[in-house]
Amino acid sequence: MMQPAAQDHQVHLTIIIPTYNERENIGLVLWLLHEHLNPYYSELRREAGKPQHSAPCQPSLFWEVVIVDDGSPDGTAEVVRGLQQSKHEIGRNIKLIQRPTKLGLGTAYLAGLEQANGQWIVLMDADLSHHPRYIPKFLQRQAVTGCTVVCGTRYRKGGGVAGWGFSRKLTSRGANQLASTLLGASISDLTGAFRLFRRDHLLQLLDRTTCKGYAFQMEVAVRAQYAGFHVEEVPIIFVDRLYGDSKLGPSEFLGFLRGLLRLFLTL
Amino acid sequence: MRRVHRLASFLSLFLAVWIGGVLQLQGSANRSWCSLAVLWAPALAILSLGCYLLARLMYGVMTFSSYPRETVALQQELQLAKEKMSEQGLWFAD
Repeated sequence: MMQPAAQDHQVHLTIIIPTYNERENIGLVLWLLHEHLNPYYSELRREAGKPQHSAPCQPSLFWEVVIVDDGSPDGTAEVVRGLQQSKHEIGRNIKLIQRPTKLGLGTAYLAGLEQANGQWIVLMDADLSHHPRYIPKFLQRQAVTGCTVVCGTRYRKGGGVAGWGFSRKLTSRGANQLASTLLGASISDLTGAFRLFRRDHLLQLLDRTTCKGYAFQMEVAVRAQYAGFHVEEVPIIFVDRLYGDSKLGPSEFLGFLRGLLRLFLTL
Repeated sequence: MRRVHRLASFLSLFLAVWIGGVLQLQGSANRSWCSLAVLWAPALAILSLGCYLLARLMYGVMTFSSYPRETVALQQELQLAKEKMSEQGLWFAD
């Protein structure tokens, strides 16, 4: 039986989204989050026998979004502020943290955590490669299994990609298999960035990570496994509309290998 | 014990056994398949591991599914979302 989402006024879920130059995408991400999360939380409240529209218990108040913008020159922060200041429900649960420049993913997540009220945290990208429709699936998997970490995976049955050619798929799969062989990882998608965490476990993991770039996500997943956290995986379809084969350059790949070697020698 | 230490211990043990085996065979002029297998054991092990990893990679890429229709579906969904947001005065990106 599914647990009720939250007490009447308690935020259950915080979604932390780091942004850099996502002016066109961020509004759409927030819209889709409302489209997919509000029905989920309404349904949970109905199952728990609570009235649907009693203030302050609108479904959108069970979850919130924290956007961490690293000084986007394209005005991403202005778009977010515009939505915050609108009278629409979409602006009711958005928090914005503005940082002066790119300061790294790990610190962005930590900054987001400081502002987060949720017991559960979703980390996702702002470029719509991670579709909000999977978040209820993450939450359902957590409720059924009692795990504390849910990782979206492109490699298990039901998961996959759109917009990648053979060489990109080969690099991605090869890098993940190399990492999982060297590090003895049972999680299939080590470089994925679409995950659900229990707040305290996420804080523990972020405090321990040292890698940057793709290796950062790998380090978080592996440390979760090594710490003995119960980790589950949910298949997701990753849609790469913008970058196709071009996002992974030699320097990113070398950085990944350096991080992998460091983890292999120290874990 | 760290994983790298465990692996290094295992490799050292394998190497020690192999060296012992090779030294035992040094004296005899016997070139049976058994002595050849012992001599070439590390090379065979590396080759087998390489073949296994390659086969696993190929299987992994073959089962790494593509969903080209998802790109189209997403584009349509986003177009609809943009229209609804514009109608409600929520589109600030232009």
